[in-house]
Order: sequence, then structure tokens, then C-alpha cells
Amino acid sequence: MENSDKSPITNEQRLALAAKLDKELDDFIDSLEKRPYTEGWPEDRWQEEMEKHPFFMKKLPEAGEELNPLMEGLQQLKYDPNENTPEELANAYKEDGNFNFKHKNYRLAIIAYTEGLKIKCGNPNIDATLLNNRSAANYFLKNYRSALIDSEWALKYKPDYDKALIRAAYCCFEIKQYEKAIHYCDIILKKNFDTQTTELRCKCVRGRKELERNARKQKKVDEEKTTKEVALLGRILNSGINLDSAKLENLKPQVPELADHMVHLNEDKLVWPVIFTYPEYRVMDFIQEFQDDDCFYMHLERIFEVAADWDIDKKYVVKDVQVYFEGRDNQIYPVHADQTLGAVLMNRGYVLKAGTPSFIIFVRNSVAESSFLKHRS
Amino acid sequence: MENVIKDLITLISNDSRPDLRILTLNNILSFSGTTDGLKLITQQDLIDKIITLLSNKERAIKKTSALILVNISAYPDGSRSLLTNADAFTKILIESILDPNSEIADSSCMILSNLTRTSEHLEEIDVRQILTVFVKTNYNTKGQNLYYLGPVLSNLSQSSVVRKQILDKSENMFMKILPFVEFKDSVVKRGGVVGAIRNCCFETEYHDWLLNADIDILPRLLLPLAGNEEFDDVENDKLPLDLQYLPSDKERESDPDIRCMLLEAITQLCTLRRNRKLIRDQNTYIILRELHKWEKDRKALLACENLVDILIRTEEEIGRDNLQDTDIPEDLVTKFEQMDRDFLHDS
Repeated sequence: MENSDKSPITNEQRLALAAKLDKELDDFIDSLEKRPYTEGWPEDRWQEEMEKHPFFMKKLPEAGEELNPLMEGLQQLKYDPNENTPEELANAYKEDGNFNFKHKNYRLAIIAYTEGLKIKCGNPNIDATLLNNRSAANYFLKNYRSALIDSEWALKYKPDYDKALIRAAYCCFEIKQYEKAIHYCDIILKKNFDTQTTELRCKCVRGRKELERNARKQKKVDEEKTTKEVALLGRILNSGINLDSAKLENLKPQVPELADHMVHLNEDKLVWPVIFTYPEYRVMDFIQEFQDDDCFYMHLERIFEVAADWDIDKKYVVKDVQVYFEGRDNQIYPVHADQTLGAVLMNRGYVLKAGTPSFIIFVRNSVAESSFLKHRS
Repeated sequence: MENVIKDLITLISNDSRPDLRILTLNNILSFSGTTDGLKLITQQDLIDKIITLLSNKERAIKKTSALILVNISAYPDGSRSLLTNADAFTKILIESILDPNSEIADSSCMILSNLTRTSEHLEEIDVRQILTVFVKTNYNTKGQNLYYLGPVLSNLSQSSVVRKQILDKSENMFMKILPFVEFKDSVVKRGGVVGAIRNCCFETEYHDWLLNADIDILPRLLLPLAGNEEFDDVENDKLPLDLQYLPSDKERESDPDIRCMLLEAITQLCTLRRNRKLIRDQNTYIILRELHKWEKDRKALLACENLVDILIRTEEEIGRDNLQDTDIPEDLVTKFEQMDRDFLHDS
């Protein structure tokens, strides 16, 4: 006990005392044996260690991860088959799953419920709950098929399980199995009427109708396409054109520039994609739509209206060019610019290849032309 | 004459001579095929005796008796005699219809449909029992198809009380009878159910419910009226889903009376403004337009025009919410009826 009447120490005295005490402590510490502290967490990894400690960990260990010994001990208390009955174990896993479920850790919840099911505790109520809960977790992860399988499995254990019935209905709706969804809705509605299920049922009926409508629409589109194709092929075959293949799929142009312009009908006229080649410069022109009653003149005029980049000498003008085709016998035949495409294609010597008529163009009486013709004959 | 009846009763009452019994019953059956014969055998004592034979063990006796009663019930006086003890007799008929092993269920349905043609005794029959059997195909195990429950249902629905039972929301029976609008196996059953639905459409306070998404009656009524006509995408999109892109082999309802009743049902549903709007919005008009081009039956044509008249008018032109609120002077009613008759005969 201090004397109350003792005069208080002055500031100088207090500082001197503090300095003295500090000195004594430093001396004491310095006198201690120097020994490194080894049992603690190393400074560079303390956070990692802390997270492993079951008291501080922020997330649960992943399946298969090595466990902290303390954690392992705790787990064994909770999950050891020697310490617990199968029902207790299954319930423990269920609680574990529910905890994760509440924290929206659906994947971990699924692992826990699965562990619980592996125990095969033999109590249909517990198994039904585990399955139903796993179904719910799967549902939230949008694994609707797995969720459906689980809820249906739960219903095998417990046929009047409302939650499982409702989820089964919603899963079926999500995966567009409307017939089955309606079946589940009807079971639910038979037990008790609720507006949500009625709404779901309505949505399913509508979904089913939409599927049916889409199938009808698709069928119509397909039929229309087939009819068109048959008409087109019939028209081509009737026109007396020699084809290398009388199959529609072989009439699709091979060159990408014309791929979207396969032969088609405009009223009763055939419209062809056509290639003009210029061997002199090794270039080509692609004409997307060349109707069979168009004459060559028309298209040549349009093409040569402005000289192409490659036509350096500006020689290619309509009045000076000559069109040829290569016949069945590999001979070269001239085409008059006044002729229509249809007339040329009907020529006995002409064979239409890959659905794309092609023609060769030279400047009349040019060196290139004569060397080409000489080379061919 | 009385002696003849007495003799007949004695003959068919004789348990020890089944051969004579059947012979006599067959004779009565052939009598019942003609109007004169019917007059002769429509005697209360005889009819009562034949009714008791419906529960006879002998198959042939049971069946022949039932057939005789079918003929008698088709005859107004006979029908009246059968109904002198209506309660007991309808009970026998209903029991036979509800019994999955009954061999006279079809005859019972026919008798019942004949007896319910008039608007009497309709409410004494429990329509819910009829409905549960009606919605099941192959209910009877003895090859009785029960198609005549259709007309029974249609007849019973002449009563507003019965209609409200059919429309009962908690029982959900209305939803279950709707698919029979498309019942291909029997025009009798199909016609019956369409008749019942048409009658139910007279209950205006149920219109909103009938047209909402739950029951969605409009496409059900329109589908049989639609043919295989093609519409463009815009027109298709405005139609109910069930009527969009119908296949090229889609056929219309073949029976003109059924087409007529379908049109009348939709016309009834047009009673209130909001429902007229709903029916217009579902592009009902183009279905009717195509039906009108195709229709040959004058009565159906008239029904179609009546409905189109309502749909093509704007609400400003109609000028009121409930079409049934209109008071039409008696002389005009007579005039309109005469116009309809003229239309029907003018072909």
C-alpha cells in the first residue's frame, strides 16, 4: 500500500525510473540463452498455416486434399464408423451438406450428401432426404438432369415426397421434358391445389405446344425445300443439258465466290452461277446470276464496262473478245456473244461440271489465243 | 288386346322355359321396330316386366330386353311410360353403365340418351358419375364402347344445374372432356361432347375461366374448323400455337352439325367485350374466312357468318359490353328467324 500523503514523483523522476526498468529488462533478455523458436509458423508462410488450422480456416478442404492432423482428429470424431452408427453418420453428412448448402457451396454440399448416401444407412427417410437435398444442390448448379435423377430416386424411397415431386416437375420443365413435367404437376395438384404449380403446368403445356408447333413448321420448311429441289432438278434434266452428275448436291458450286449462288429457278427460267476464265492473265470472273435466256453479250458488256486491274493494256473490250467452251471431247468450241446461255448449254458437246458453267475468254486474234488454240489442237 | 299382353307377360315370366322366353322376347323386339308394333307393346305392365329382365342371369334375355327398351324409349309415349318410375329406372341404367362388366352398357346408354332428350329429370342423374366413365376409353371389359354417353352428356347439359357441375373448377372434369372434341373413333361421342361444351358456353360467368390459359378453350374449338390452308408467318404468329403451321393433311371436322355447334360455342363466348377482344386477337377471323370459302352446309355457313358478323364489327359499332343485354322486339325476332329459314332453304 502506498502512503496517500506521499508526495507524487516529479516528471524527471518518472522518466529516470522508466529508463532504469527498460535497461534491466534488456539486460535480462540479453542474458538469456540464444535459442531459435522453431515450433511456430514460419514468418513467410503464416497465412497459409493459419488457413489450414481448423479454427481459422476459411474454406473446407477439397476432397482428397491432405488434412491438418487436428482437422483429421475432429473429423474422425464426427465421421468415424467406430464412433457412430450408420444413421448418425449419414445424418452427420447431411448436416455437413446442409451447412454448405446454406452457404451456397453447392459443390461441397453435393460431396457431403454423396458421402452420406455411400453409407447406405438403410433408413429410407434419411436416404430420401439426402437425395432430395443433393437434387436441390444440383438444381441450383443448373445440373437439371442430375437433379431430376436424384429427385426421382428420392421419390422411389418416399413416393409422396412433396419437395422431390415439385423439383422433379421443375427439372423436367428446364430440360423441356414437358410431358413428364405435366405428369408431376398433376400428381402435385391432385394432392393440393397451389397456384405456382398451376402456373408451371401452364408453362409446360405452352412449352409442349411450342415444340409441336416448331416441329410442324420445320416439316413444312423441309417439304417446301424438297418440292423446290425436285422441281429444279426436273427442270434441268428436261432442258436437255448434259450434267456430269444428276444429283442436286453435286450442283453446288465448288468455288467459294459462288457458293451461295447455286443454280435456281426464277419463274421457269434457270439461273446459273458462271465462271469466265482469262488464261492470258490466269484470272477469273464470277457471275452470280446468269439466266439461261440472257445472251453472253449482256454479261460481257457489264464486266468490261470498266477495265479490270489486270488488263494493263486495256485490250479486253466487248467487241474484241472471243468466248470459248471446252467440250466433252476436250476440244475448244467458240461461242457467239449473241447466243443465250441456255442455247450453249444445250449443245450436245457441252458437259456442265459441278453445277457451274465455265467459259474461256481471249482477245480475238491475240498471241495468247492462237498459242492456246494451237496447244489444244 | 289386354289378353295378348297378359299372355306375353306370362310367357316371358316363365323361368322354367328359357327357350319360350327368348322366342317371345325376340317377337316383342321385332314388334318394337315399327310404330304400330310400338303402340301395341307400350303397356305399363309389359314394360315393367321387361325392365326386371335387365337383371336376368341369362345373357340373351338381358340383351334382348335391353334392345326392346331402346326401341321403346325412342318413342315418345314409350319414353313417358319408362319414366313413370324414373328414379328407379335411371338407377338401373346408371348401374349398368358404371359396371365395367356389364354386357348391356351400350343399350343402357342409348336408353338413357333417349330418355334425357326432354328437359325433365335431368338433374336427378349424377352427371359426375357419367363424366368419370365418359373420359375413360376401354372402361367396359365386355366390348361395350359407351359412345352414347356423348348424347347423354349433351342432353343432360340442357340443364344449367348440370352445366355448372360439368364446369366445376375443383373437379376439373371440363378439362378432361375437352380432348374428346378430336375423338376420331366415334362421331356420336364427339358430337355429344361438342354439344355439351356448346351448352356449357351458355354460362356467361364461366367465359373468362374457359378462355384463360388454364382451359384455353378457343384453340380446341377452332382446330376442328381449320383446314390445311397455308398462312404466311405473320398470320401464323397471331394464331394460337395449336393452330400454327398445320400440316398439309389437316382435315376439317367432317360432320356439319358438329361444325355448327363449334361455331355456336365460339359465338356464345363472344358475349362479353373483353372476350370478343381476346377472340379477335387470336386471329380467329382467318380460320373462319377459310372455313367460309370451303363450307357447303347452309346451316354451318349461317353459323359461321353470324360469328364473323360479331368479330368484324368494331366495339364502337357494337356499342355495349354484353351482347345478351340487347332487347330485340318480338316482331324483329320473328323476322330474323324467317330470314334464317330463307337462307337455309335458299341453296
